[in-house]
Amino acid sequence: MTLRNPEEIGREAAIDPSAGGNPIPVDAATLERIFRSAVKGDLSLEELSA
Amino acid sequence: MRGNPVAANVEAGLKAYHAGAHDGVVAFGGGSGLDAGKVIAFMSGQTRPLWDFEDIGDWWTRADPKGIAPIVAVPTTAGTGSEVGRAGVILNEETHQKKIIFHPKMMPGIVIADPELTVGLPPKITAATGFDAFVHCFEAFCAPGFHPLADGVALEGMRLIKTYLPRACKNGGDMEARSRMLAAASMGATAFQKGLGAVHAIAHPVGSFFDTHHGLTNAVITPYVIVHNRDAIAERMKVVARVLDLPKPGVDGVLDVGARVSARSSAFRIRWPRSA
Repeated sequence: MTLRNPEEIGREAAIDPSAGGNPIPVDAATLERIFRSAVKGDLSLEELSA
Repeated sequence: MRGNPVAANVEAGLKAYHAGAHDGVVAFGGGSGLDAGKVIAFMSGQTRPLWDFEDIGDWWTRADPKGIAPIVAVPTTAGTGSEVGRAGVILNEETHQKKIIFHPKMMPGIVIADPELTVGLPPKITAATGFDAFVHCFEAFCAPGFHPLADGVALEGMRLIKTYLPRACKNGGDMEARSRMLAAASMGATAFQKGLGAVHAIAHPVGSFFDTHHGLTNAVITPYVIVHNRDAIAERMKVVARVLDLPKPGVDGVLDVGARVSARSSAFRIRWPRSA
């Protein structure tokens, strides 16, 4: 994966029916951040943000 | 068939279905083939366009149930569990959105889960599809709500995958491993009636935009979602780590394994077979 369309990924992820089953509510910004961290392959980024 | 099936695949199937005056669909293949076959059966007797049946509210009631052809599902991968599901995922190429088409009658009436049909899967596809099944179980187990039946199925599904997925990857002809993986895939799709989560929520648009393999995408994203959910799933991760007999307890034990899988998966390159 590359870091293309991160905002759009976050927006689409937030309205995906699966999002409602997450243990804590997630919004587009949060999902976009998780996607960015995964693309960078840096788990510590998510550790710092969560 | 596209790796992430599109409306054109469904339309082509419908054309063949009607041209042959068929009265049922045998959906044969991995998740893409099964989903597309189920949607073809669903659409075979409908008059409204496909996207009118997206899984939103009660849109499924728009369908004429008499117009849904009977389905026999024959999975050739162990991952999606679509053979025991009531939906099919189709990519809308115009909007780059994966749409879930749902109807209770899309549940196949007969499933032929023959492990011999999965023997030819190469190790990378075996691993990626198998991890999809694992994430189905994992996210279902983490989803909020009291559903001990789904939780039990999910836990045993994860245990089977932890035990047998490495064996199936190492030796594709290991029939015991292949058969247990097929069972685990069906268990994952059964369990996720309870719910999924942020891994799948992100993996769906990523697959739409980048045409990535769904299971592989799940594998890469999972540890990042675990970190985000850490506090909310701490108690549940104690159970997962114990059931999977991980070296470290709790979230850290699960995260150690997840991070290794994610890092290795990031290096995977899966090329889609393209026949259309």
